[in-house]
Amino acid sequence: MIYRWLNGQEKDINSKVGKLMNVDMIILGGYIITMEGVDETKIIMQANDAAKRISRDLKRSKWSADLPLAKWTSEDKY
Amino acid sequence: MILDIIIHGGYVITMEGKGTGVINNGSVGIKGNTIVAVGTTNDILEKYTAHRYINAHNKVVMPGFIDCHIHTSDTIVRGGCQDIDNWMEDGIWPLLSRADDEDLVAGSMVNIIEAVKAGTTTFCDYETPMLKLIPNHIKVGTRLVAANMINELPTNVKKIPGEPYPLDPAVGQHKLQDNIKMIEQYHGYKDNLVTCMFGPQAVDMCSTELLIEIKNLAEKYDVGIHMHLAQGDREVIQVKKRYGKRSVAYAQELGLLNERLLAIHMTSATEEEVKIVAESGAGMVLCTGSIAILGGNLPPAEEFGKYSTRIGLGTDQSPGNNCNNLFNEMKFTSIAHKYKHKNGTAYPAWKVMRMATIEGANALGMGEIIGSLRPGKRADIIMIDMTFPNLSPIMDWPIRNIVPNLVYAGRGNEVEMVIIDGKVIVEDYKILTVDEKKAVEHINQCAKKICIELEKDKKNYDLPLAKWTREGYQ
Repeated sequence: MIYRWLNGQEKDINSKVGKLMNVDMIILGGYIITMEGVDETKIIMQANDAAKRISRDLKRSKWSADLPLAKWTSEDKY
Repeated sequence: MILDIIIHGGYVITMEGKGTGVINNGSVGIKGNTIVAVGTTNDILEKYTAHRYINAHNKVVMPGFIDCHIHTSDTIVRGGCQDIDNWMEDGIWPLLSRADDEDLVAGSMVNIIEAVKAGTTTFCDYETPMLKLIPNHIKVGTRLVAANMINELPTNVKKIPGEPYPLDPAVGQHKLQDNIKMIEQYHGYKDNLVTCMFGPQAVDMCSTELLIEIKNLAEKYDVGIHMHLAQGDREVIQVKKRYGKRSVAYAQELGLLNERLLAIHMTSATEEEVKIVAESGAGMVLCTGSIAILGGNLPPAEEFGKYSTRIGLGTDQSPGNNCNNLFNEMKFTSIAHKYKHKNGTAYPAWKVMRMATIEGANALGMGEIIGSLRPGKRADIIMIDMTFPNLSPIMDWPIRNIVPNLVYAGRGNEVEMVIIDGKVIVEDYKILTVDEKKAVEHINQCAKKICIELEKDKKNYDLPLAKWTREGYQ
């Protein structure tokens, strides 16, 4: 398992046992969310695609035109 | 026609019309310092070519923000005076009295950088010695409406609380002469990139004679007057003691209430006084953040707005706000009014965005030059990356969320590009015209010097923030 230490170095816990004296702190026992492999741009684009789908659905529904923000959008306020 | 720049494919928020005037997939063409074309990308790219094309896909292109009231040099003591009862006498005056011109110039430069990077393109900078600060604006390349702050206050004003200040005409004349020199040297500089106003600090801080002289000079030079008006109880009490009337009535009697006046704050104005000022044709500046942090008040912009559309936003000073960022000011203005009325419909996002742009321009009498994206106006344009997580996702129809997201979730660091007067000042989030790192190093050196001076004087031990520092609260 790969751990990301506070000094920014990544260490393999299995291969480094016994060689950990130099780190400043060890945080133990938590659920580690490394955020490795997360593509922020991709996530934002997925959110934008989802927002487009929602917008398309809203356009199809008659009631959505009465929503205050839809009115303001059509009135050029937004 | 070959343009200098075409920004294409963005959400163009023109701020034209009654709302925000958004064009989905829009483009803006710039030639020299002027906007020559605004429209859909198809139209613009069909009609024009350019030396430089800037892709604005998933970006907002909009007019730069207008800060209608800012004291840039006060930044030298940012964070040194808030959360206290008597901000002026126990806060900013003792600190600024230790600052020399070098310190003030260093503070101003950092403040300008801070604001420009957050999308401010026009600064109504109001300070003494403004002549020393103008070179900062010229170096950075901002649009400046400068006023030299004029008062006749003696330096020991802190020792005379409650009594009418013993005004010193020599102090006032010196500052007035600097203001005149500034106008003669800089008003209209570089095709009006820099313009000037007179800057009497307030009617309680100048004699009648000086105020009349300033009024006459403003007419002679055909410039405006930037002045705090009814800015607090102290002013109203001082004027009442001295002249037997409230400050708005006194200003009216002197003929100061007219289209030339940019009235700042008006926190202590009654509803009737607000009406009088608004109907005179004067503009008003609402500094929500600074007035709230210093006194817990909300100035009467809403009342002013019943009679006039000449209301802009100002960030005031960073030692008491404590940032000069119009994203912050728009959000705070909206929320403060919602809170005041216990009503979520008060001051919607589109309204405060207008105040930060076109209505601010109108307040300055510059609505035909800046404040919106329209052919013929000056190219003061910002581009904002809408793919920052806090600005995502984008919805554009039937509900467009772009303006609300900018107002309520924007922080300023999403401003990717700033163009002022057709010149690129910020690109890829970096300021191009000055060395930001050096400016920050310089202000820190100056601040250290001020701290050393403050510590030498035992009187300063009693300043509230000095006590809190010793007691470990900050």
